[in-house]
Amino acid sequence: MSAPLLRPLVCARCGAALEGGARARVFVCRPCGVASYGADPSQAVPLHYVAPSKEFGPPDLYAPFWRVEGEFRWSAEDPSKARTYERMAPLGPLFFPAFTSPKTAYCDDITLRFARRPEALVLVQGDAPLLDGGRDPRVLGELSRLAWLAYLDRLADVTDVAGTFDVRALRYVGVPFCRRENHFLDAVLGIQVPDIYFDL
Amino acid sequence: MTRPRALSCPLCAGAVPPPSSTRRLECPFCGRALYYDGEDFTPTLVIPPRMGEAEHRKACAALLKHPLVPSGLSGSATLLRRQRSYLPFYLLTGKRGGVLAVGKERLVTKMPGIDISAESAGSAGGARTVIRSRSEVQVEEDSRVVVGDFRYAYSAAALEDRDFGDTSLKDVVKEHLGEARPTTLDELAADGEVVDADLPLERIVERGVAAGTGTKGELKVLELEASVVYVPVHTFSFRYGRQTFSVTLEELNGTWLGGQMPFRGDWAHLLSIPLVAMLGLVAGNVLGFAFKIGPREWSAAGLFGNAALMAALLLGLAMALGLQAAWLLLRTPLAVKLTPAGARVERAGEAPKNPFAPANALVKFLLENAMKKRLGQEDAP
Repeated sequence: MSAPLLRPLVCARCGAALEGGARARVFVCRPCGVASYGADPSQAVPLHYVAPSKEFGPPDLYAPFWRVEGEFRWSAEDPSKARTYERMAPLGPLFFPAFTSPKTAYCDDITLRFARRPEALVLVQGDAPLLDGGRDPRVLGELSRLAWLAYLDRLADVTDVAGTFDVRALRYVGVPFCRRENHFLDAVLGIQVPDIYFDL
Repeated sequence: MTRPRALSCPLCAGAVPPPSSTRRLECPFCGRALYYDGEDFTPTLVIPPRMGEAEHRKACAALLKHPLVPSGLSGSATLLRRQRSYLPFYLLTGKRGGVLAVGKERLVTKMPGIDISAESAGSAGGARTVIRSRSEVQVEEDSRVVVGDFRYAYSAAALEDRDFGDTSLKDVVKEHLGEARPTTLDELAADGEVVDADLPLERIVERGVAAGTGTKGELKVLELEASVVYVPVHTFSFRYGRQTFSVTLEELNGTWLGGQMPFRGDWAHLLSIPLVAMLGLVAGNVLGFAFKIGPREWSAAGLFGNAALMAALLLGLAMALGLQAAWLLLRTPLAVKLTPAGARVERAGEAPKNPFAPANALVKFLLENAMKKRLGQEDAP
């Protein structure tokens, strides 16, 4: 049986109205603390926030990211490459923007920098409003695999290196950003992004 | 492009019209918020016009003062019609990624040395070959992990019947994309003509987005979202003399996209006066030179034997051609063609029949005969 084309924007668990703007594809149920792509209750994932660092001041907005935890496996025929990869520091959870951004080159940078500092990204509960989420989480497995391969490529060329990524846990996370004069700053690591990063 | 069919509300079973601008909609019966989850949905967006009445007037006033159009155009032209049109563009956004096989090129220089090969050892005197230093490019295997977003704008309608292309508009769409907002076709139709998005989206995706993948390695489209963005343009039609002209303005940057304007004929007249005067001067000199030559030299052999006379004849021919050019300049209908790059003068209709054609034919006949005669004399023993 095919999935229903029209879904009511109410939570299937508690009946509360789902939160999301006109262009949102990810909807949030505040009472249950979950988010679901396409308002599909079978795809609901926990909603969290990253605790902002005090050094940047109070955040001006929270941008939604998909936080992917999983296991990356690689195999390399070349023993010298294998030795190099074995020595590398593992990446933490990967944060991929769930919002649509006109300047996404910065997103890849944030993904890697967040993944290298997992201890700085403490998850907490929250209720701050989020920007609309629009990115499809079905591609996150492949994106994670490519993010890992890009990380390996920095150490040694990935020609003939095979990699697989198994998604273990997925969360919808609000990341705090502070507005500055003509740019934004993430309120965790202080990574600077231009103001057109967000399709506000 | 397929459109969603009529739907029914999952809460009250009432008929719900298919979504047009966003996936989010409201049941007209129970008023509950609903979300359309079908794959066949293409959001409709519009980039609202940034120009109003005052800006239109300003743009038109500047155009009517253009140096190539008649000076009194603003006073004598009559505006017949003005219309806003919304032109559709497909906006394709998404993510593309993969591992690209890229060769890494290295310049390798072989150092000079002495080669004692069998051939050189066996040569006379046992001479040894000295190898000079040599550089060559070696390609090594290398891969690059590529993850990136793409954003393409393609015209969603064939614009052949309009006198402007979509190239400059694509850039305008990209530039003003941040201003796009959801809309409905009914809303647009209330404001102007809505041009149908009649080019199939599947073909655009196949030729545009997918064509750029899979060239080297495993680069593939991971995510693709299509929407139709409508861009406002304004067409002004006016009468000048007995002719009707129309020009089109895009209403985001205020650039004239295309159209025709009357060309100021006085420029052609002014240009032809010095042209004819100069030709008259040349003609006078040529005739004066011809009269200085004795009658005996007017034979064919004398004609071609005298290089100076030959040059004068050629000059006379050029003069005749110049006269014809001046005449055509006066009589050919010319118009000013507007393009996003600027205005240029071009032919607006068929050039009139050349009245000098019989004279041209006579000159051609005489020249051919003279040449034949000359060649016949040279070939004779």
